[in-house]
Amino acid sequence: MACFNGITASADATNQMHSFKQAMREVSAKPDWLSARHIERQRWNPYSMEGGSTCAISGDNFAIVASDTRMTANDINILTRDAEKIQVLNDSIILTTSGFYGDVLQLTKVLQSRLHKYRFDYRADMSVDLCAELLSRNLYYRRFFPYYTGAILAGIDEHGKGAVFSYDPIGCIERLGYSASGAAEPMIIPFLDCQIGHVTLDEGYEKPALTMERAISLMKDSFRGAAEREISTGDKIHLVIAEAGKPIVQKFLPLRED
Amino acid sequence: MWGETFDDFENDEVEMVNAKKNLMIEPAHNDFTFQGLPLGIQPVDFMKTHFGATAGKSMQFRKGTTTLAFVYEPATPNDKGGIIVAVDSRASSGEYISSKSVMKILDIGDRMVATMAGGAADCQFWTRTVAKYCTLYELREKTNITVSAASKYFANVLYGYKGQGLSVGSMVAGYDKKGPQIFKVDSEGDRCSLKVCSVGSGSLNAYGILDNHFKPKMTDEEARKLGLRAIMHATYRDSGSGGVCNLCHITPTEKIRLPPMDVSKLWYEFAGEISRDIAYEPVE
Repeated sequence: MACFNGITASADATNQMHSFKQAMREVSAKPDWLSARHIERQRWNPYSMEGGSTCAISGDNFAIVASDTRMTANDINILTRDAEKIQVLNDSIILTTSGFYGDVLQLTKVLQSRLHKYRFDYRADMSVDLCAELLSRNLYYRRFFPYYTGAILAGIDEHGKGAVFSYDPIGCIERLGYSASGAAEPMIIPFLDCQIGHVTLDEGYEKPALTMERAISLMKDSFRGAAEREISTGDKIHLVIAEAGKPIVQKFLPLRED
Repeated sequence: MWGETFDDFENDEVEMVNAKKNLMIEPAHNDFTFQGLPLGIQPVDFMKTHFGATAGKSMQFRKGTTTLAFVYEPATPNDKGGIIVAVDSRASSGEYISSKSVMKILDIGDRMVATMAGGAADCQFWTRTVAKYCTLYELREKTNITVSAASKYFANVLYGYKGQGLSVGSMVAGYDKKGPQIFKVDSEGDRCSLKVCSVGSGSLNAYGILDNHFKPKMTDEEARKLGLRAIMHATYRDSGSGGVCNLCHITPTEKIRLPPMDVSKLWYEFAGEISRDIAYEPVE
């Protein structure tokens, strides 16, 4: 550069830097050697979305998990009416996932093998708190090629209390009282916020306690509501009930099939 | 390996000594790698396509925040002084609020915390990594790690992943032998020491309140109130922030976590204090 006097020079330098960055961005987004075949490959889509919703509610001594059993392609074409999206991993841990069914199966398999190894190493079943952290880390290990899943882990913790852990696709973990995931999440959560969280209730009103019977009927209501207004949710509710000190119970209840 | 315990060495004392010694050796820095995409696929573009704004609500990563921290000195001998860390609790995926009760103050050891802004999973995972590093450091060196060292490790790790799409804006705050310290660390690799600091989508609003009311010397009551007030105003004007205000007070001797405060209740509290609406209303 010829001019090195004050403002002009610095403005020039800024412009140069700007155009350099711009050129760098362009060339890294579309290098010269990129053939049509390469560009096609960039649009590579390993994921699909099979729809459906899942939900979990925890209480003092129980956790209930539910999901619908519909599996759709492109939200329209129903592939099957009895896909199982809930996996009972051991006597106190239940995993439920929505999203890409291939990743759901893979994630289940990974967790099952890790739980099996834990049993082998420590001669005891893993607790739900440990499994929650394990799941979070396993989701994050795929940070740059994530599992296309919304996972919820529920169960009975070491103190006999119900536990629900909610995740995002890359393993942001949070323990909550209730959680939902999948296509109808934005419908189910406000309903549960109202009925269980009592966020819309003014102070001084009676707030009914969350018994297991109430939780189960709320769960049924939320899925019936979702099936009325959401296309990829329907067919059957797969309901899994875990109560402290009792074996896990599984039920299938009918839903709208349209 | 997995399941290996000291029992396996009890027959041989030399082996036992070696085993103990090996446990204290600095661990291999990072012997695992993230599973990547197939060759030729750009991770950042890939993420934008499948988990960006066009993806379904449940597939977007959780983010969005206001976090702040400041250092102050006690105004009277009765006060403790130290660091106030205040955060909101909202996590949003696109326009959907995926959680309103996130704990954004994460522990790193007994004397240090890190705040969480940007990608929630990124912050949680890497803060864990830093916490592990600090614990191992303290076991190995038999001395407390400084905030500076912890934050530098954090920044170095993040710099190693620069350009790959991580999103972290964290403040590492705590007390060490040099006194109260706050370091702001982000996923671009930036790290700087600050006395008053705010990060996140609502940071500008929080800075407005902080810069207006901050004094180097404050009572504990004043300082806590300032933290709450700044978060409340940030949540009021920034749609990416909300929920409750979590506050952590780090004094020279202890770390006090205060119970969460609902920001919409704080709104009425502060409005009552100045006896008018919080928002500016010109008088005719």
